[in-house]
Amino acid sequence: MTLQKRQAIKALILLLFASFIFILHKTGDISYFIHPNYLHFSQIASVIFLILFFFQVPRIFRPTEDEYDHIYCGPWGCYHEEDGLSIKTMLSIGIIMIPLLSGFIMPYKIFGADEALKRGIQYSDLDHKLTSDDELALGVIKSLMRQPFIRLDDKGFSDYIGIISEYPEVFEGKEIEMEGFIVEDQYLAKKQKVIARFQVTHCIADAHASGFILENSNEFHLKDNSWIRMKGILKLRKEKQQYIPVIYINNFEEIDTPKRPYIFS
Amino acid sequence: MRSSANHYLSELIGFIFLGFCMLLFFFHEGMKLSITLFSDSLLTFNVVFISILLEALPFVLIGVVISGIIQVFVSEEQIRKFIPRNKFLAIIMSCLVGALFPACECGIVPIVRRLVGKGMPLFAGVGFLLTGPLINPIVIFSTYMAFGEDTKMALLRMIIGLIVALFITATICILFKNNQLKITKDSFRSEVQENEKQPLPTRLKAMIEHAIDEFFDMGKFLIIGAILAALVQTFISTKSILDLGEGLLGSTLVMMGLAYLLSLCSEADAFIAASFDHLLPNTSLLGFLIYGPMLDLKNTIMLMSVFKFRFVITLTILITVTVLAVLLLAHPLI
Repeated sequence: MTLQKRQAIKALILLLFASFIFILHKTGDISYFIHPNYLHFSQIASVIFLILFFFQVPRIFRPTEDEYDHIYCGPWGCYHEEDGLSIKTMLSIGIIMIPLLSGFIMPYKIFGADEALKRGIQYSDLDHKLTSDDELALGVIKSLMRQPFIRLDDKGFSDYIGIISEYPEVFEGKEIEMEGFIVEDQYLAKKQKVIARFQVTHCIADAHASGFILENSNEFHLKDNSWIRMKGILKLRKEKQQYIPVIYINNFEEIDTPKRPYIFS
Repeated sequence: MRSSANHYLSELIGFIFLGFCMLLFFFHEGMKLSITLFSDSLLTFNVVFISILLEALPFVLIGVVISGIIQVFVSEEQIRKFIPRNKFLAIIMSCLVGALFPACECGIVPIVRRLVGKGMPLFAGVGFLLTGPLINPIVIFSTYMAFGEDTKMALLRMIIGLIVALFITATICILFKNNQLKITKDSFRSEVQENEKQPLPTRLKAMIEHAIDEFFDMGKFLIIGAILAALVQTFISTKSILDLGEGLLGSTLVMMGLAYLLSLCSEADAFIAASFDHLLPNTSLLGFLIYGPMLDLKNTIMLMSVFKFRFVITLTILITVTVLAVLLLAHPLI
């Protein structure tokens, strides 16, 4: 009647994975990691971990000789690791514990200016494709032009940023209201600040920033990485045979980091 | 008597673990250290790392459960019956059987070794090895999901992958006649599989336990892969990655190299490829999606432990050249 340490640790790890995912869902922190449309998958994963835990528990005190049904293993022996805690097993258990450790003790950061610079910020759509969805685009443009100003909030941003960067010439002179964080893009020719937001397709690993250059940013005191809500006029700037939409700020106010910092598209 | 005592002790420990997790539910907020203790890039790395892992885990779990089912409920005899005697037909069949067989590139190596050892021709084993991880329902589904529920990339991955696999399998059929397995003392041991004699509950239990062991076996490679991928994302700007590979050939080579180094499981790699979606042409992304499941760092290490060195090197070169050539030829159509 000996305690199989390795089996006990494996059981605990399975349960910790199940709880880690459960806690992320309970606190809502999961929205810092994956798109809301894919939440079901990680919920299923949490349940599978729990089921595996219940099957793992009886192995904790099972004598080694009963341990494996070797009948199901191949003619070259099997891949079941040797018992006890060798350096090799300690190492592989250590590796598997890394995400649990860092997930539980490290605070979760919200992506901001640094990440935007690393990943590059998109200001305009490079491939102007005038294809079959033209009519659809025309409809959206018409409804946008009817509004007194364009609001790029949580919902508006993902819906309209594409069309504005694709046909900036249509929207020249239009007033725009937008929330976002401030970045100073070193890759730009002049020292200008930029307002940007992250769009997430599936998980934060694929987050990509898009935004507008703030043409008269020198007239205002804008802190890097701070969140602002601003109103301004959309203008065009010609650069390398291409029109880039830029914004002339009329007014702005600093705001707290929003509850939903990412745009899920 | 003793076994029932073991039983109660196991349950006791299980309940202690559950109680520990209940405490975790209430006090997990207290475990968070102050944000000032960590550097910004470390925090960014952690978020990327965990998000990749959270996205991949469901698919890996489904993968190991299915692999457990196959391990216990499908015998090699049954799979081998599908491979015809005619070589030409056998090449096609092995690739198609592989396509129906859901497995990770790390999980398929021991299966192929067993099949080849039991008398399956080497080339058929290779066909199986190449298509098993690349073309199967889970991979196709996750590719479909990763590229915004778009069928185009999933289809291209399947079709081009199949063409590449058929070509490599045929070449191996011409080049190698014997089985190229490393000779060990176990080679002489034969074992009769008598699955039918075991009652169903025992087989179910064996299946889940195999799934658990496989999760721990592969989990470490998955986590190392996620760490490497997160490091690349945190410390290397995408601009500099793209500068490495100028033009189509360069960027395709860079993506293939990335796929090799990251060693991601094929069930999850589509999500990583999709993160480069707005930066690279589809051909380069397909290089990542097709090359990665066929060959990567951890899979090469596993192959080396099973097959002769010369064979593994030949296979590595063959896969690299074929994937690149087929992609460049197919580029105008993509």
